[in-house]
Amino acid sequence: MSIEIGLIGVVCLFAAILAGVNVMVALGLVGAAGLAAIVGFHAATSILGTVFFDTTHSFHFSVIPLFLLMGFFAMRAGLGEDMFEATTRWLGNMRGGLAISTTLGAAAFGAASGSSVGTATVFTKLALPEMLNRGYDKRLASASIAIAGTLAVMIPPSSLVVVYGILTDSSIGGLLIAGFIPGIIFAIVLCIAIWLTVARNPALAPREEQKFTLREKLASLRLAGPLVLVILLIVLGLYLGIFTPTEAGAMGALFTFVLAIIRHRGLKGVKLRETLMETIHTSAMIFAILICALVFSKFLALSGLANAMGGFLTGLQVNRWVIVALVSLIYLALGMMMDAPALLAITLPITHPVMMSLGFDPIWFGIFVVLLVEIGAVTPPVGINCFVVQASSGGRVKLEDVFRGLVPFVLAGFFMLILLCIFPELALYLPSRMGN
Amino acid sequence: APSQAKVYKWITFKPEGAGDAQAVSTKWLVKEFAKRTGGKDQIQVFWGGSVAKTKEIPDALASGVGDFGDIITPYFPDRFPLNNAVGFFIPQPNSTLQIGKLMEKWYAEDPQFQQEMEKQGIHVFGFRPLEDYGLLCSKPVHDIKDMKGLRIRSYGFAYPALIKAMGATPVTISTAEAYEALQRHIIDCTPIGPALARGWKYDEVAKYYIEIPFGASFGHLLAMNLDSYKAMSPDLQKIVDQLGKDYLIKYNDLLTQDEKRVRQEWKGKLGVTVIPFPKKEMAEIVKDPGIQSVRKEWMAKASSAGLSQDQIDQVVKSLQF
Amino acid sequence: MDTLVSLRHLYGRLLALCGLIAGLMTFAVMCLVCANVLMRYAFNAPIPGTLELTESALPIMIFLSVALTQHGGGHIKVTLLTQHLSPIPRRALQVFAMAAGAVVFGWAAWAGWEMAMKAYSYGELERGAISFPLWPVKFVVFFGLALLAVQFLIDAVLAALGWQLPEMAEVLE
Ligand code: NA
Ligand code: NA
Repeated sequence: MSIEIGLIGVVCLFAAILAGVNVMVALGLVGAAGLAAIVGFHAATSILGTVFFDTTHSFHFSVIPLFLLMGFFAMRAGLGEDMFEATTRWLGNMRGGLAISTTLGAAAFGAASGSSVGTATVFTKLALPEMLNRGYDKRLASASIAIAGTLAVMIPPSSLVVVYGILTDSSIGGLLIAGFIPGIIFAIVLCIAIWLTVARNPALAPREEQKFTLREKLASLRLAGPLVLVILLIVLGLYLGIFTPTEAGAMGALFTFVLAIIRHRGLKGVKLRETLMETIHTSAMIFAILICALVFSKFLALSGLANAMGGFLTGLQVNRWVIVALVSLIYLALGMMMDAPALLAITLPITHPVMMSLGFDPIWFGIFVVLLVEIGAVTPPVGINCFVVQASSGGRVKLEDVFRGLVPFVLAGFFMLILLCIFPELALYLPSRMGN
Repeated sequence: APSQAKVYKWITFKPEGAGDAQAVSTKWLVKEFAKRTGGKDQIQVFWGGSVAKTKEIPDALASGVGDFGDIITPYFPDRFPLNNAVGFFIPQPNSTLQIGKLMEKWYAEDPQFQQEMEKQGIHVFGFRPLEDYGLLCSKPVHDIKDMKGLRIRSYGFAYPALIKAMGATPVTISTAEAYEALQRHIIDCTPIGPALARGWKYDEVAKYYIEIPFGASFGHLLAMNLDSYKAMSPDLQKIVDQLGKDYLIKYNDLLTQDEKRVRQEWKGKLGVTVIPFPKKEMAEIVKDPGIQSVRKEWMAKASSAGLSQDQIDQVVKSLQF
Repeated sequence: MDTLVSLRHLYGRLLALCGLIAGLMTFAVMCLVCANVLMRYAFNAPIPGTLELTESALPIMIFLSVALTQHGGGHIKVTLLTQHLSPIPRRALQVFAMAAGAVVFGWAAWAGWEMAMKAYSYGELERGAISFPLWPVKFVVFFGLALLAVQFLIDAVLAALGWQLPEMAEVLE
């Protein structure tokens, strides 16, 4: 009975979103109404009463507005323009050079940030205006940033990987290290995807006309200096244990604030008030969706729909790679409409035992499933990274542009999943060397 | 007329795959419930906070989102002051089983304990105290002098005063962040027991376990939605209440086994050094005015929750060294 | 309709004030966390209560801003299908979307009010290195949700009267 309600809820969610209802409203209303249908109005009200406060009352989540603030200050400090001036001198002659250097930059930044959404936000602020101003196709520009954000979750530190470790009782240290090589390989795969996309349709990314001498190229390294300093501050700060992630966010914001003041020779040009307003706008948007997605996933859990899918899997008698393919399809399907931590919380109790009984390594499955749910972060209709890119774009791209542009990158994600299946050592080599 | 067969919902923060005494004993309870009702009634567990996260559970239970659930009592000192008695008295000398038995005794003798929960729509039928806590550190600590200047993870309402009294600096860090904080020496130590230290993998990054007698803290209430409980037949209510008592024994056995296994692993490949700590020093520290004022706060709360001075004295006495 | 539009404008100024407070809090949190880091390393004296204050600041920052973001049309929606509709069904869907928002956030605000009253009744404290009452934060959450519900209600009526609601681009430059 409840499972039917769950199915109806899923249909209603898609219908409401397509009818133009705000995504947060669709998630919240269908979730709350569905809860009321299953456990009663009073119980649904109680969940609405606690979830908004309890989700935001968190030191850990404060990292989101702080990383946002840092990104906005970095933009005011002109770090984006400078970096792209430098990267175009080096990579500009290549087609899609800016998108490729954005991907590599996001990978580097991902060594400091554990947030897919946060990284997508920062690089939207840094790279999107530059790419658009230089004539890049909207779809290619915005989608390459949305997918690059997921690199932050693969490359350590990563809060999502820690969530997996806790949910499945696997080694957190091992898991964090395991993501390093797959993260870098995925960055390279994405660069190849950009290169191939642009090779097929050169109009997507105009080539810079200018030729630069080696001296000019070397001189441009000084322009990239401040951004490198910001990344070093955060990477070293985190790895040497100087900061927690939230502290790294605050220090990064302060540092970029100072850089912005230096660039504008005073506070006036920094536009502090506008910067703060942009930060709170985007934070509010992210958290509103995050919390409403939680309400919906509580409904989905209580309906038993997620559970029924797992029970079906365990009953199958087929080759284990068929089950891997099925599990992947389920994650891709659920990933279309749910956020990553909620998705892991609901599904891992079902899929993890199935995978372990088939003889897969828990650390390998951790990296595999994190990549799966991160692909979900860029697929419609609920693709949180795409929302963030669009919301941070200042109205310069539409959500449809981002989703449409993502087709080659989602294919690249599938390719990476297959690589992980063929070469599990990509994930397992470093953890196996730990402590030796 | 015989009541209808029912599938009850159990909502928990605990991940199913956790494999620790808390998760394993919960599964035992679910199986045992079906067995004792002759398979007529069942419990379905919603694991891993998928329906209600730790801080949402009391409201979710009280409003009927779930029928059963486990409440992390120390998160609600103001809401359930009586049931948080033990939490205000860290350090105290009782073991896990003793704390569980004490809670059972208070529930039997002082009706105010159950009333505190029933007033909020919750019926308590069992207790899950935590293990005996010591201090897991990234450097050796032999006595109170070694504590000076250490950064120790603190949380809740009793540890800040206790850590200050020991001459160390309390640093508030969440459970999820403590692993990284230990690894990066943002903190030097965290109060914890062996099984939990293994569960959160803290012993991968901190290799000294100091046997400071903090005692077992409480812990989780095994609870039901009050209406769901009242709607049960008297026989079924009896089964639930007995199950709560048997649960404590089963859980304590599992926890003891876990602790033994972890200590074995510590001696072996994990290489964690266990360091004894002079018990006398702890009994002295309790006299610290900061610690005493935390205890007095509980006495005031208990008094306004309707406990008589005599009842309060009884509780306090059983929590003293 | 004109009175309602000017009412919406006036309401927007209230929301902008709330947003400004939220923005200043974000900046203050940045300063506090940085000061804590510096104090920890320079003097081995972290600022007590940094974690507790930061934790309680986040709900205030978020819920003082959600209604303002809606005021400017800044919350995410998918216009994939609706942009191709003719004006009448498009307006109907817009009224439906705004009314749905008013319903769900009105419901959430009412639920939030009950929770805040409950926390107030037992004097819930944030406890840690420093202690302070937590119920005022819960009232801010209620207040923010209520502001959001009212914004949706105003926009539902205005959409029904045929007024063009703002899209995000008009607010974020
Ligand atoms: Na990362
Ligand atoms: Na998605």
